[in-house]
Amino acid sequence: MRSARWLPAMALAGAIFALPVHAEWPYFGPSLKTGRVALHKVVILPAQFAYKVIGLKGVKGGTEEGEQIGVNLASAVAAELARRGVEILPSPRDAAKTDSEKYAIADLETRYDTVGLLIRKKPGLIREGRLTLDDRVAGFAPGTGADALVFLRGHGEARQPIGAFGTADLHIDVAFVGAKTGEVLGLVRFGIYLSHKEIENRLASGFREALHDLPLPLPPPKH
Amino acid sequence: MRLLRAAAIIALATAAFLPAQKKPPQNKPPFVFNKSDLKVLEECAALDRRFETRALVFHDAAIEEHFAELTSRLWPAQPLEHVAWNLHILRNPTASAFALPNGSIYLDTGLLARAENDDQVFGTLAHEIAHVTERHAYLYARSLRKSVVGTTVFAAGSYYFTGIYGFFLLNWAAGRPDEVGLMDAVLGYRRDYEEQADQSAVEQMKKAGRDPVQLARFSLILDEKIEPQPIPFLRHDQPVLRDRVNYLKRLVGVQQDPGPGEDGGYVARVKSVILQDIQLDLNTRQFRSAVAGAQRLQSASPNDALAIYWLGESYRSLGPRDVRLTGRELKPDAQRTEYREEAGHSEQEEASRLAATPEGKAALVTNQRMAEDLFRQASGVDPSLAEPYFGLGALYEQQGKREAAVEAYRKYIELCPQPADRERAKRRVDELTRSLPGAAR
Repeated sequence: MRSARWLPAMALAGAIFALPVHAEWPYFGPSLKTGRVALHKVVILPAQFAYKVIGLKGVKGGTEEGEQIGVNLASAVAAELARRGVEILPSPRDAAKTDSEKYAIADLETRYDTVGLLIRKKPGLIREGRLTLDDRVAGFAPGTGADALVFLRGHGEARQPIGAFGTADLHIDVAFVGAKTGEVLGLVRFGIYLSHKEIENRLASGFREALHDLPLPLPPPKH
Repeated sequence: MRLLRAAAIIALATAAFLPAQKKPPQNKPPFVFNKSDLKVLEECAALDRRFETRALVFHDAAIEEHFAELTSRLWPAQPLEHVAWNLHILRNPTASAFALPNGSIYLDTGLLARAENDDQVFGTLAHEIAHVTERHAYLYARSLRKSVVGTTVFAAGSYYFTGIYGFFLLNWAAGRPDEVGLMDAVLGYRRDYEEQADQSAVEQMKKAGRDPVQLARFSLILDEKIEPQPIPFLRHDQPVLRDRVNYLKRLVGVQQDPGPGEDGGYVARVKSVILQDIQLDLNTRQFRSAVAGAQRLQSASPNDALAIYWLGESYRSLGPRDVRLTGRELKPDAQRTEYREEAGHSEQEEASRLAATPEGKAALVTNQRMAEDLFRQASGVDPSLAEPYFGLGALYEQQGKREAAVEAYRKYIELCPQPADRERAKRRVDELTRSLPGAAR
């Protein structure tokens, strides 16, 4: 009977993890919280999403699907930021014409991923303003005039047979990096669990929920 | 009946005393693609597109032309089903190469930056081509699928009997062969496949008049540890590359480790690749590798201002670290600790931690002195080059010499053609002038 005491807590934890969209506590650094950096204009870098489709015989692929989810994620993030009054500057990938311009985007992504290892391990450091990509990011021409660069990372897998027994789990990080200082300003982390249906809507609602407390030009819309 | 028995005895005896006849060499049956193999091909095409759209493929017309010439005798004469040969240079500081089963061969910039000559690159390419012609990726993916099906059936049974543990096992089994076995094409195959590819590479090198010893030499170079690595706890005493070196030495018939095969012409040819790789190394905190690459480049072209500048920048970024891992640092335990420290701290925190030690302090002084000399040398060789001045500014800023830093940044602003970079330097000047003694508060 002793274990019965834990049942309500376990049921609550189970209910939280069973939610189709689950936003973790967002991590916002001092620059954002104190208003030292305000997000009026941002550049969204192309999303990088690793996705696996797993059947009974193992992994069946998912590279192409992952690219598509990444595109959907980028548009969901852009739409939600625009709703909150943030101007989205042109996509650097569309603007890049020469090889060196394309490499500059890839190098910036690499630089983020190097710090990203630490972001994954210790996201709490963002709240102390201790993570930075260095002011080298200021040399990124498409970011001139932006307040922040937005990096989108995610991974997920779908287990087939999709349908009554199939599931899809996605884990997504949206990071804001100061376009002039390279400081990691904030991180919004959320997951979409248990269902592969309506991923676009779930991405949008998950991101909306996670951004709720972020000081942005417009307040969050009332439901 | 007795007659039959006697006939059988005579037949057996005749067969035993007849000279053994060699079986005629059988042609390998053609590889037949199944549905899963075609799915692997689709994934390969998607990966090729991903590498290209993410600007991970390096383009340089002169180098591409040189490698096209180098490999012209290497591609198999007979066309292979579902194979279109393509050679790409991947902007990746890791020293590796891999072949996708659709014929796309990727050489990392990190690998080309560490190679000493064309023979080593030729041998690597021949090795990768063998993986494709022998269809290793498909065979390996098939064997994985078989094992997964077996494990899945077992796990399903376990689930029936053991509940949740079986469920976890089922999940593990289904997720086992990452990327349809393609990760194995990237990370390395089974040892027998690797040996088969090495044998084929040595034959190809001999046929093309290349020195096969260079393949063993290159394995030796790749086995050298430059950066701390995440060495696994198990099997760390069985280094795969060292085994490969020994195997290759036996294959090419040499006893000793082959000596350096440096070719200055090669370094000059792949200069743009090495420059890319130095920047990638610096972006990924592989400062020792950056110094090693820049040293080679600068030795090959001592009057090249850009090469001198990047060597200076590499030394500046190296900060309180030694140029090479020392004997103690090369031990697995020390490497593991060092890697954990690096991965667990930001670049700035790690630099401060190391600079607080006596060895770190000494290394910092030496490296900063080297960096300053090299920046000055680079600006002497090419006074119109802006980058050394930014390097000097950053160096003086690190050393707390604010006035000298401002002066260097101002010179950079004067010379730099890129507006975004000028803005970056201006912001630094503003910050520094605000903090100078006597500045208006």
